[in-house]
Amino acid sequence: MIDIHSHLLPTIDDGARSLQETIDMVKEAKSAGFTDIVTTSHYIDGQFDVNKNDRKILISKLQELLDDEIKLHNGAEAYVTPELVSLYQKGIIPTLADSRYVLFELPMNSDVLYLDRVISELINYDYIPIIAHPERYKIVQKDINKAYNMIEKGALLQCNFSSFIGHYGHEAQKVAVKLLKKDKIAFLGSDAHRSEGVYTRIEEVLTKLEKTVGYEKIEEITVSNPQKILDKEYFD
Amino acid sequence: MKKEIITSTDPKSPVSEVFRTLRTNLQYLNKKNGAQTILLTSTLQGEGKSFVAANLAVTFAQARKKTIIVDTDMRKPRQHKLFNSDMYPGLSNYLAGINISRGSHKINLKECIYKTKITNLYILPAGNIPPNPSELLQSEKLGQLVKILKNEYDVVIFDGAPCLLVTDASLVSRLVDATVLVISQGKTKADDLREVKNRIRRVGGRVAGVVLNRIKISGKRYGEKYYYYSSDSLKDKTRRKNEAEEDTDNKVERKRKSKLEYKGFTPKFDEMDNGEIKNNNSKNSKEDKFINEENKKREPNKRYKEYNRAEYKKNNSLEDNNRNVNNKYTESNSEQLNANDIASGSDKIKKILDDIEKMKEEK
Repeated sequence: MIDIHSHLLPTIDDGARSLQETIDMVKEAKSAGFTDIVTTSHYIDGQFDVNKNDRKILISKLQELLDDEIKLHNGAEAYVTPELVSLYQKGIIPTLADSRYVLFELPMNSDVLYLDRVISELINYDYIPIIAHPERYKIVQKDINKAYNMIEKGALLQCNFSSFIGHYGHEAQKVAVKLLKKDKIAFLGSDAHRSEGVYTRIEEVLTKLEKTVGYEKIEEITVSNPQKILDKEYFD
Repeated sequence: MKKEIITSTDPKSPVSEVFRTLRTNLQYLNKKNGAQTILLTSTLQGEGKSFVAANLAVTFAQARKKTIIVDTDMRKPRQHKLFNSDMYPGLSNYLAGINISRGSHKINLKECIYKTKITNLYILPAGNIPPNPSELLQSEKLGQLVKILKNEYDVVIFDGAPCLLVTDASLVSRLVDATVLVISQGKTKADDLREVKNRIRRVGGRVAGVVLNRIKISGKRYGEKYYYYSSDSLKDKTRRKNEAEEDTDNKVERKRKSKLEYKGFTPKFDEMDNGEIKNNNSKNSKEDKFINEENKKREPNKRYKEYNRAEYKKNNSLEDNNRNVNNKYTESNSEQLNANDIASGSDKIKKILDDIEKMKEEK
């Protein structure tokens, strides 16, 4: 499997708190069955703003330490702003694994009035927008059509593994199950911040999901779709 | 720095998130430049003006805007406490032209402005508490000051006095681009708010909107519990759950209830799916038809897979080379990676790199 959403780089955001925790997380991820991880530490201007190159250096050194245990890729979970496109263009925020896929999140509790504009701008500049964990946003929980609207505008959706076992509450679980059944999810990601966290429960989630939608669908959103990002292929 | 500056101490908290949204809304208030000078005021005291003003200023500074916060509440100033700066010389000294501590009559604006610990954020504190704040704010010098600050800074935030009691804030409101009213849930009276709005409009101020502060958060209702980023591991959470179970019978019952709700929810979707199948077999009841039609209306026709990207040439590589841009980031991109290249956040990253080296040696 390939994880396209994780916060395992140490101390540069609210993810792993030490190098040891990073290494523990990598081990857990490996035993959960992941072969590749796109590290997507937060990018919030002025707060968690380690830029693309610094991340690249960090990842390459970390990779040397890990040998071939697991393959790490550069990436970021950006926080939506009206200037998102220019931040990608200038090479400040990394795209996912040096592809044209970009992952960004929205505020949890409030609506983003300029979301459609941001999505269409990204697409105009030849980026492929992925919206992180739609099931966790209150606006989507209140009205699932908001999520469908994002898809219609051209964004892909990435849900979290742990949403399906109720880690973010029942509302998020309901939305995630519904999105999955309606075939709206393009990727699953761990959104792992800590060791002994979601990576230890992947097996449980997979068993549960396979019962709901079958093996093939799960294979698609955990392996073959993410592979398209690593292979820099279009999504169609 | 005080804990109240939550946007700086805990940037991923829901509160910081709300401030970022507020910032964006103010930035996009006008189509041109948004509001450059913003006044925060309220009806009475204790509704959260200073808290909102300080955090809003921090959020602007974090967006790389050169920001200054001006404490125009010369009766009960607070900003200097929040940011740990001196209180005087400050605004009152500058407006009156008197520097009490030096006893001189010459005072320069630069002396009154202090740096804070946050990059890009400056503060102009209230100064010595004057006997006549309203007169000072009425003077022409304030208008000049606003102009000077506007030239010097990207964003100027004014923390005002409560508007219902004294005229101070409405005097400032005529000079700023936007006035934001901070009200607190269950405390501010609608009549008071209306009165304040009218007062500001009467002197030519523009009310941009209202911030509802001190809302009661019902975190205890099941399913609405606030989960944010996994600050605790799942393991911690289950442990806490176990402890809670021992707590009260009440909670156990609530849990049982929610389980029932959850059971009730799954079949619903099955029904919908079955409905579609039934439709094909033309055996469906009116109800199923209704559900199907509703679904069709609600869902976009395109599944995510079918999203049309025909306009993009397939041959185009999806490699991200920061196309169409020429800046330093692109240049250093192609070069060999070198730890000395690190541009920002360097200390932190150097430390991690050191850790990695150490661990390698141990291996």
